[in-house]
Amino acid sequence: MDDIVGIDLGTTNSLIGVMDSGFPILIADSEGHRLMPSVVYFPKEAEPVVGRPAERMRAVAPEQTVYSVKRLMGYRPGESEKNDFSYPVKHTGGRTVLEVNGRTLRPEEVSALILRKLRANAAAALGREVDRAVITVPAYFNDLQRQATKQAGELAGLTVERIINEPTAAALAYGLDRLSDKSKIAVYDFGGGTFDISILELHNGVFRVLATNGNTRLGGDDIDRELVRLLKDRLTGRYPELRADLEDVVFTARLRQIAHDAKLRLSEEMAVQIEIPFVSKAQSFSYLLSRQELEAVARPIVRRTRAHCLRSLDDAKLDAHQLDEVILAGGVTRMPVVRQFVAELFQRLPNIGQNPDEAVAVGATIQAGMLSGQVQNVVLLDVTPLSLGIETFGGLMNVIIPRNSTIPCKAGEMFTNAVANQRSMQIKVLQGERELAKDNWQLGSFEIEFDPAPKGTARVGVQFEIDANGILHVLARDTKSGRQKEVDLSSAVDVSDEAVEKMIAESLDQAFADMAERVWTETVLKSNELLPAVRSALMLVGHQLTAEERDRIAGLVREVESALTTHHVHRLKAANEALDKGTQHLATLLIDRAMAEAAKRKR
Amino acid sequence: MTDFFAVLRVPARPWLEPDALRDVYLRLSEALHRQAGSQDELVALNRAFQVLNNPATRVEHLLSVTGAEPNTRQIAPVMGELFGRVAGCLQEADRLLGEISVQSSALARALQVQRVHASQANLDHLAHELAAYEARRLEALRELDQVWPRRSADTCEALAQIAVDLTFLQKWQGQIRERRLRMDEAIG
Repeated sequence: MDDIVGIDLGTTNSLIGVMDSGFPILIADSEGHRLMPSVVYFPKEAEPVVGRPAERMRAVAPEQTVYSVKRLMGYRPGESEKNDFSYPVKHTGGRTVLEVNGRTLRPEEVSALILRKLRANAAAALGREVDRAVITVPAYFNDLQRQATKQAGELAGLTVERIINEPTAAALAYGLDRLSDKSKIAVYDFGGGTFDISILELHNGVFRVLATNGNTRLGGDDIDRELVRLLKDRLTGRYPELRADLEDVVFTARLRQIAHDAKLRLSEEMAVQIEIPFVSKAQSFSYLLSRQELEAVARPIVRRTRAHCLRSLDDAKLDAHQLDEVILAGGVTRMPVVRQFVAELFQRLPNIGQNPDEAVAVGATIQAGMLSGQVQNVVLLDVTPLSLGIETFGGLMNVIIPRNSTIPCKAGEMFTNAVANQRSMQIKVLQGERELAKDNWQLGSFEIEFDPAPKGTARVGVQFEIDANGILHVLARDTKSGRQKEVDLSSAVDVSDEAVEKMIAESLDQAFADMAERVWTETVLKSNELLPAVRSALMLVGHQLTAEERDRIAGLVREVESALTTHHVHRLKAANEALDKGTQHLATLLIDRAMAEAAKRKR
Repeated sequence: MTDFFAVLRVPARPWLEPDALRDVYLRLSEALHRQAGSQDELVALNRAFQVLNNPATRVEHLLSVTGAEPNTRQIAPVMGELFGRVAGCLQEADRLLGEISVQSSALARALQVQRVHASQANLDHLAHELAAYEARRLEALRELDQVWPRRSADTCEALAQIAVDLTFLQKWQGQIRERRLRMDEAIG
């Protein structure tokens, strides 16, 4: 039989499934695990190790173990990304590569190793080869990230039948046994590395996505990182002399593992005893981490999903109370603080009927069944998450296909010569929601050719087409043959690789030259912002503080003032930070006061 | 030019009930997906729904497929007045957002919370007015739908005017919502 498998290629974990007599079934490995860590360990002179055994190497050989590679898929140097990977990530020739134990790898190649392992697990369980697959991506993935994912599948020897959005897949998993329903749902999908929110309408077996929004660089990884920072703070509090040692790569990887495990346990328990034997040769560390502390660290990260949710509701033209259900997907949604946040935002308790780690893979498997004909009564109408446009004169973005257009979709654009006998024109293709071209993702550029003609008379029509995978195809008319031909965007970008490298090199040189001075200036600016703010805040709500608190703040203010008279960057930075932290209560009081007044006005 | 009313097999009229139109679209999509229809057919169907689902683009399309494109397009005084207020409100919001964006400490931002709330209240108030006016224009559209079979040049002109107004009203409401969200984000 010609199987198509469904694959959830996650930042932290990956899964594979197949339809079995009409039901989506997830496949376990030989040890019985369905969840496979998306981790690859590269030993010096042996084959790469993938999955659970590689995960165990993360804390032992952090520089040779690749994790969260999904964050680097389709990533262009120059985009903002916190480079906190424990393995070397380099940007050469306009590409991102990993250098691990003498090997140079593209992110797609590492993902391909993960896919190959899943494929082997499936073949072993089914007793036959699988070579066709549906692979999931975050809904908010742009064209480059989708293409990279498709390529990873092909590198793993798979025919990628469809790229499907993760929240849409989770909705399929939820809705498969509710095919006669008419309802509106939101899928809140918070994974290890990415966040998506999708609003769907379910209508007699038709799953129609109304709007989607998200952030492909926001996830559980960020909570881990903040928790590591908190533990390091506590450690330096106890052993100030160890400050420098704590930045060691192996120690940080070990601490991350401990933090991550504690985070998982704190979804069930109220406090976790953290034990770190041998922080140094002579010192051990033990600390009781409470759920409250974790939540204080996680809350600002979780809050960043709020605007995305509101934007998607807006785009769907719905109010939260018009939703019938809110579905959770992604491991992070196991955290009570996340569930509470979702409940408040959507004014209803989220549906926790599904396993948040498995819903996406189950949905991918259903989509595979739809393509192979095993699932018959389901139709999926998905959208493109980001507006597609071209750069116009003056560096602006001209939208050609607006975000949340149902795919597949197509739009045509006519280009004319601006001067007589102009032979060609460069078109830059962009994706994003910002007004300025430079603030959006540049997918690539291509050249159209004109026949020699007077100004404004040579014309070339270009078609922009987004297929069912959310992947862009550009078709331009060939002036000689008159036929439409597909334009390759990626090749056009490679031409400027040298320019990109030069740009990066120059900005680095510049950075070193004036770094020290700039840091001092910035720190002074921060003090100049803080001091008057503290003064005004004290005037407004100072009376609500205890005398003790007021004294402490006065002391912190004096320290900033005296540090300003030195040229000691570190001292001033520390003083700023202390004052910033020490006035948190003051900030809360101010916000409470503003809220109370706003409520009073409403009445 | 493609007649999107024909694609969706609905009467070519100014007003179409949103739910009924949605049902037709879903039924046709389903049929196409089940017969494994070609990508071009799906593209055409999606495009047709996108255009007809929005009253402003629907009316524009209606006027152009029926060959009744009136060219008089004036800005109604009430729209001119609204535009002035929208522009003022957006500018004020942008100024405030600009001020907050350079502040890095939580305390300095907290000091701005009151101003943000006041600005948001202004935006909400204006958004409310725009929505009310939009509802009135949609009501006018439904009335014109009644006379559409016996239309005159005046009917077409009035429809064109409604399409222009609705386009602006939608755009402004979107801009206001966006500022409001950015303010929420800015004060965390």
